[in-house]
Amino acid sequence: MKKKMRLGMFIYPGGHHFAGWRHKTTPASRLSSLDFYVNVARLAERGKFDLLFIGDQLNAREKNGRFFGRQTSSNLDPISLLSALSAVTNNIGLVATLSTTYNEPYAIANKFATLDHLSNGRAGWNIVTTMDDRAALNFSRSAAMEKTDRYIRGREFVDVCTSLWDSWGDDALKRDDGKSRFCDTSLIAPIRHRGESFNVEGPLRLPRPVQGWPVLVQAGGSPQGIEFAALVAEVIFTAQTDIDPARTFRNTIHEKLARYGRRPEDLAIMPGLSPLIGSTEAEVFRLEEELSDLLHPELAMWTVSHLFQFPLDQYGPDEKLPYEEIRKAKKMQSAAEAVLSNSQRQQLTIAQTAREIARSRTHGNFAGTPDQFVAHVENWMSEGACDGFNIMPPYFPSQMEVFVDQVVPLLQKKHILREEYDGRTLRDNLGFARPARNHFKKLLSKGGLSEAIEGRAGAA
Amino acid sequence: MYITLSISGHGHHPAAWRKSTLPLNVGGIPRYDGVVRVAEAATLDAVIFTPPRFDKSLLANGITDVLQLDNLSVIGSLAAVTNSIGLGASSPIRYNEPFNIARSFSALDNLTAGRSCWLIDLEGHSWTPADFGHASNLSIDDHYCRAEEFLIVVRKLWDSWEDGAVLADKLNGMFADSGKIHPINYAGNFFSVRGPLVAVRPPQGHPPIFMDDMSSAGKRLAASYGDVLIAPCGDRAQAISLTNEMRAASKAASRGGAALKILMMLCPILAKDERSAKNRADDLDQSSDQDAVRSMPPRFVGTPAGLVSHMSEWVDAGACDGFNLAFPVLSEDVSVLVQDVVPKLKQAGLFRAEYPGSTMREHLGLRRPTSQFSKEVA
Repeated sequence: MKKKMRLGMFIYPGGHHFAGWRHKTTPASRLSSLDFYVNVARLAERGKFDLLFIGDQLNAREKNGRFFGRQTSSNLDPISLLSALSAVTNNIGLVATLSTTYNEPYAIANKFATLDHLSNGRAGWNIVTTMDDRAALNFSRSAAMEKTDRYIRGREFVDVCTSLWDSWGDDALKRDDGKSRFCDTSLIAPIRHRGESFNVEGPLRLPRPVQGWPVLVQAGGSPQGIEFAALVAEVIFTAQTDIDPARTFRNTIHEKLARYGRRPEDLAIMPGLSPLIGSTEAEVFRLEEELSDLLHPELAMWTVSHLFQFPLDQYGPDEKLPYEEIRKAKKMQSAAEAVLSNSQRQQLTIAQTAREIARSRTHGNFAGTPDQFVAHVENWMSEGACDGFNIMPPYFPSQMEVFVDQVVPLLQKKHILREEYDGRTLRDNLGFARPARNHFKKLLSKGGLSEAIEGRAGAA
Repeated sequence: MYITLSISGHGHHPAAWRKSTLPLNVGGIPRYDGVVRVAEAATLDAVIFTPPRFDKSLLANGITDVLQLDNLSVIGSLAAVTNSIGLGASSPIRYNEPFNIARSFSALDNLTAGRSCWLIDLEGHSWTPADFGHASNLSIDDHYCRAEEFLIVVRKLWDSWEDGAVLADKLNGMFADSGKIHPINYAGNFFSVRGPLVAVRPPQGHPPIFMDDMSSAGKRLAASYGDVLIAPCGDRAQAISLTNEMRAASKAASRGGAALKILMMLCPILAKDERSAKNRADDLDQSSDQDAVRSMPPRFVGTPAGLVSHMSEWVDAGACDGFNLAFPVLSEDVSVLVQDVVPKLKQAGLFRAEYPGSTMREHLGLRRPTSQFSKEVA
């Protein structure tokens, strides 16, 4: 039997193309309304997607110190949105991004346990650390934490959360009136965590989540991020534009899993992919031109400047990027560096680079017919470059409708995608085991993040 | 009068889980969609989810339902399955950041099209300090000073996107009007927050702010910042005096004429006659941990008709603007409320028959605040 492809639906207000909200079919004035998201969630469930994914953003986009209004920005709180969508869906996973940098582990463990209970076992947590200095300014800090420190805090944060979820045994909730027993206290224990960043007594005031823990997701591509992923991640979202580096990334992760006694099948690596689908090549060409024409020149320049964190006011759209100055100015995220190298290799102008970035930031793009798309993803899968994709429609909902109506049936016919959900929980559908109690402590004892921590000690 | 339904666990009595449970989810937590739709059919102003008042240490005795869901997620899960009723969540400010709270309520108010409200847990019922042992301890005075700053910041963040900031102008490629989106540049003793928020202004401007902290500092904050005060007065004379005091205080706080509404927290233990009601109360109490029973709100023990008289007498006497009803056993009592209590109040003209509008502010007759930044445009 062929291995099934994992599919995530990455929700973004308007669409993943920076100008997608301007497309004639996009309900641009409804991007903060429930109906927009309910429609997207139901479509994704009809297409048998494994999960809905929502990113996070803790600071408004700016240009020269003022709000920048040419891109959509209705960043609804991920957990609030997914709790609302839990009531209108039955099978699809609900993955919320939430930062370990400006939150409390007890409160977050409580939030995800609640979402998992409300959804009958469909919650997932994309664990991120917040690197942006401008986000720090919204949380009474003057600058972001240093990277390794963020990950060390993140590791302890996840340790506390998993311990809290495990603080109730699986059958601790009894509701046995005859025995005057609401819960079996012999199965409930405090966690008594005393650590570098947190002191948390526990237990949680909720039964263990339906899935034991929500599915743990991770998305960082730096050396620290990869180490963290090998320790905690069951799903990895990653920005990969080419098969070879994607396969290398996947192999690297798989090698690191061994340290923790984890197997490759315990993990799904899902690169972001933005498909622009048309019924013929001529239509695809027309759609691409249509989208590019919607990219306002000011947004185009901002797009490049924002990704590389480098002011480009002195440059024109038809000039080349000042590659070396950009690299010297600031250490970039791994995914941004890949885009910069690609632009340099292809000798793109700033305007051309902007068109690339506007499609899907640092993620993969595809433009073609449904058949071509199927061939594309089959190739990635058979080459061992990924376990599936996090789909990023360039504009909602019409490109998503095309995907669900035209691409999904082809994938099902080829037995690459399921025809029905396998189970009720997200773990069931991804084929992941329910974690045993205190499983995370066992993983930690095998040295989670130790290389990164040694690196920090060496630098000090 | 105004009527809200207070929801905590299976009901406000610690024996509620033993008498009649709500439908349960797979993992054993109650499902609230059914009771909330019943409350909506009776045109109640809102349901307000609060954390259990039972101390977490009662977990150790195994007979008390101390489960605590994240109330923000619970009201989120009700957004798509209700249309008119207000959805309130108690949420603490202790151990939280104003940016997080402002964003969550902005999302919830947008997703409910203006039906969310925030009951501020000032006293800290939600959390046990030992679960936040790494956080700094504040003196009582500092706690309330921080709370006031927290509220100021949250309101500024809600205002940071003015009404009409979203243009969605496809022709000119302008999604939002940056002239209507403002950094707040707040710098106080406890918080420094630059802003703006990452989400559009709530449809209600600010979701209504409910408070229930009856300390003098709590009452001062309610007079200045609250829309509704939930008060637990067991005695009518005491309630009249409190209501007069708070109405005067909110007037003195020069908040633009929008008076604070006072709802009485009341636990009605009802049965078909007085004697059965008394027996029901005794039976519930005897099935419970006595510490938990002592933490319950003031009671009315009697018949539905008696409750109707009680409520109308209190409102007529100027003791309150309405009630936040905290029934002992939710699944049993909500049907009594909608069948035997609300219709009588409607017949007597004491409670409106229809929702007056679509937002919770409209239900409660509260004015929608304009953004404090809107003058800066000129």
